[in-house]
Amino acid sequence: MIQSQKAKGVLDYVRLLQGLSLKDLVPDTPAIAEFSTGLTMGQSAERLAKGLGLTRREQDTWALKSHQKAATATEAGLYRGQVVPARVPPSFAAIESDNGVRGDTTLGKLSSLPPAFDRSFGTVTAGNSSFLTDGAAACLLMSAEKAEALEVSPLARVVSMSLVAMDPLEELLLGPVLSVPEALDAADAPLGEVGVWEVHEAFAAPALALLKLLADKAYCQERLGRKGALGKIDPKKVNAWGGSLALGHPFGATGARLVTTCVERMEREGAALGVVTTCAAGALGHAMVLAR
Amino acid sequence: MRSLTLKKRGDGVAVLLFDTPKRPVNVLSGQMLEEAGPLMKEIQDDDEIVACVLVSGKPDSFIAGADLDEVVGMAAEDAEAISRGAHEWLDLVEKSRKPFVAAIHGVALGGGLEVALACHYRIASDHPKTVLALPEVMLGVLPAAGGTQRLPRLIGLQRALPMLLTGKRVRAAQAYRHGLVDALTSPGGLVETAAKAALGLANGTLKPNRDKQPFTEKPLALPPLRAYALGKARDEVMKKTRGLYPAPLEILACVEKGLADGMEAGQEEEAVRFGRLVGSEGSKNLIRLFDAMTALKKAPKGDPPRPVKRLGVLGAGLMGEGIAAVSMGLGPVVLKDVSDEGLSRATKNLRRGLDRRVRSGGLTRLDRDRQWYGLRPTTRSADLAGCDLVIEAVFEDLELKRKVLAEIEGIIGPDAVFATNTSALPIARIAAKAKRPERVVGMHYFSPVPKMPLLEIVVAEKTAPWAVATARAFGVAQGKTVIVVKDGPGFYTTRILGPFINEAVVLLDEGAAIPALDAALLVFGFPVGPVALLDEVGIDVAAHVSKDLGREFAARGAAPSGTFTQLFDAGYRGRKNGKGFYLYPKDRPSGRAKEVNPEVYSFFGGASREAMVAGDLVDRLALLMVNEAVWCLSEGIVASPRDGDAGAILGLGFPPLRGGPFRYVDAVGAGAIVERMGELAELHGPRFNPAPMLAELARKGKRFYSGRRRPQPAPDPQSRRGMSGAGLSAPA
Repeated sequence: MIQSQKAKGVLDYVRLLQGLSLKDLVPDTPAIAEFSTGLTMGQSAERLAKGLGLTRREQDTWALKSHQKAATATEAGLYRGQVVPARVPPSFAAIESDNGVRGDTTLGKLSSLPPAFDRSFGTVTAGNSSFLTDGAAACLLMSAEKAEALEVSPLARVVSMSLVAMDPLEELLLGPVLSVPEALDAADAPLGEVGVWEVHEAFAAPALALLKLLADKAYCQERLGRKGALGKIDPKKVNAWGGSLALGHPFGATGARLVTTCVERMEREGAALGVVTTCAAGALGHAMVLAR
Repeated sequence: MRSLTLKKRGDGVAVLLFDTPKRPVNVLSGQMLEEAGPLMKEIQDDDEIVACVLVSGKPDSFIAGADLDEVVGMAAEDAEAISRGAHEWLDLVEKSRKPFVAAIHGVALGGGLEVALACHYRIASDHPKTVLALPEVMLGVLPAAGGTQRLPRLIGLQRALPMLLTGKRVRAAQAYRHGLVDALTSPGGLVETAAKAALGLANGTLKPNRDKQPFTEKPLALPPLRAYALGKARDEVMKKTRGLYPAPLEILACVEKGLADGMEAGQEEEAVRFGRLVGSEGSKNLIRLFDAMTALKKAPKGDPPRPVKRLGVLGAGLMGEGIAAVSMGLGPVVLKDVSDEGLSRATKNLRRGLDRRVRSGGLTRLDRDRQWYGLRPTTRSADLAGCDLVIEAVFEDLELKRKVLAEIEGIIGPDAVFATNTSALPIARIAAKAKRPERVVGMHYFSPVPKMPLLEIVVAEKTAPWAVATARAFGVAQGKTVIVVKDGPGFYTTRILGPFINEAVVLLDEGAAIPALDAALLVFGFPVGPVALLDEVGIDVAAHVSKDLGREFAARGAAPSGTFTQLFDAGYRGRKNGKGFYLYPKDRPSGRAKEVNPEVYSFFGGASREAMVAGDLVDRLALLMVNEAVWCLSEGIVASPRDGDAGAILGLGFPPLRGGPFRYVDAVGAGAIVERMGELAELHGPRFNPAPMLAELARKGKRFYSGRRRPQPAPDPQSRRGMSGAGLSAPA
């Protein structure tokens, strides 16, 4: 493309075309591969699911609930205060809600999908993976002094944050398992006092893994160096308005979306503490404790 | 305690768990075969079981092979019986209507791979530790549980023969490409995945793809073409082993019989020939070597090693680069050289080496990056600060080594070990002016470092035990077989090589022909003849060593041949400068035999050569080496005949099938050796006088090793005797 701008005259174009092969005309598929391991996110999710023995049914059920909760929340208008309609070509008609939410999906439909990353024996499918979608989100973050100076009242306060990195081959997507306990410790908040959980659902598998491993005594002792299990997270408090599996995962926007939803939910549900956590490429993990 | 347990999963799949009691790895044994019988019946009779998964209870290892303690010393008929027992069991597995799936993570070697081959489906973890091989040939025996039959049938003759005849190791990705395994999966959830496959096979939804053989396999189904291919393989084996090693030929015979007359006939052939091989002295010596290597990996009692968190390597030449290459997996490495150019070349080679291992599946990308970013090439000595062990590999020059030691002593901490990589310079002389001579130790590596299995650790009088323990443990971690020897001229390996090489030159002085001399020693079993070895080592190095050693041992009549100096003065260095006993034209096609440099004979009295008896040539060279080894033992340079044998085989290529210099004396008899040496001393001089220890042994009619064939295998949890023969270099 760049060279074509330099081409002057017919002969130059002919020369340029000679250098092209059929391969150049096929669009590149964007492979979201880990720089360090060469595995894609999907392959890593498959490794994670197999390693923890997460079944297809568990993952599909989580995905089903994510869609159902997102549909219910959208219908109930819970998202109305958070969503700004977008107008995009060609029609520029307003898009007022996410179009990835499938409230009418069933376990039967989800379980009929073929595994996407290990066709013979895999459990991770298009149905229990988040999809790529376009979107944007924003939230306003400032110091307490600045808020006072501007005379704005905050919706929530950031109590603590944690950013961690783990082994990119064996622990990719497990970042929250390490960062959530760190953030809770820093906030001096026991797990049971958290009223709202917003957990990024890159796939159903890492969300399930977070619940499973924080309740696993042996894992918490061996990997996290704690005295015992961190505790059981009540699944009802997790992603009550649906998660990334239903709403999609617009890169760069999911974090702000999770924070916004967390704050809204805390307000509506009357929760004092909320936790937002995401996994990220490079086996990074992030968690944040919010208070009202 | 049982090796096998059967657990039903509740979904129709039964899991057969291998877990050999009191061993770190699983081994196949007679007892295990007895356990297998009733379990096979249970699997067939239980209607709730529709399929079976075979899996290991050991971490990072499937099955490491047959129990060598059991095999060695077995009578031929007992060995036959155990082979037949294995055939019977694995035939039941293969013919079972309920499918068997082998779930492989870690090594599947020898009998372990044969068990997997009998299953209906093999699924392997895509982990660098997963390696499949039939290393029996390296121990002088053959795969006697159907391996010579099932492997060629599954993956085709062309891919099976290298595995059978050389023990070639195959990693997961290649095993999948060749159809040796049917599927790959991540190590986590291996059993779960295998159970899915087993159910799929049972209900017919999963069909293994068995169409992966190259198209060139098709014509080999025709008997004449097959015979031609097997004949070619046989020629190749003969060329490489000179007929000294019967195992690869026996393997070919089993393959041929099986393909011509069917599986049953082939397995019968396996059993009979296995029995024959197990009793042979050659196989016993190979297994003894394997045992010695295993024993030498165990930490001895005494001072514990100190941790080496960071290694320093001084000198980025071929040696330094090699040492860095085998150390990068163990932690950060600082590689220091005075020349930026040398550093660039070494760094480039190290990176290439890492990339090659990633391509072969031996290293993950992530681990490559970890190792790569742990390497710090530098031209500043100060960067060696903080290293716990510094190995210098600078040029072999006493003054230079002393200078380097003085400089580094000022940089490294008081508890750091300073190791010097030298093949002959006495450590005490290098450390003569050291501030802390107690932490100076010799680490004699062999070139090329990544390929050569031996490391000789040299203990000077003042060296502290903790420094020795630290260097030794680090060498073992690098994957080396380590022998600890006492300081002295040439230590052990160089010292026994000295008279051997010198005698080769003396023989040339006397009129021997170069090709005849090399050929004689090749027939004895050395991998390289002495003259070719001289070219490889470098005539300058050999002349130097020969002079030093000759001076030390002049009283024994071991004067070095003066021709060395003449060759050196005329610019002969050997292969490295293209001027040696052989010609090294740049465009020599690979595989073509080397040609003798005709000019070199002018140093040895002209081109007319005398015919000499090959046996005399062998005796004069080999007995000098053997005799020097005995001197080393009597002076305490080597601690035991076992160490001396392992060092000579792994460091110098003493014929493995002869078991090493000390085993050789035991096999021939000290009396006969002393007698022969007496004859040679009369003819050629006092350098052939037998060492007093040897003479005494002859007088008393004793042996170096006690009468028992091998140390009795006490129930030792550390015993790690699978047929994994790793790093054991038997020619094949």
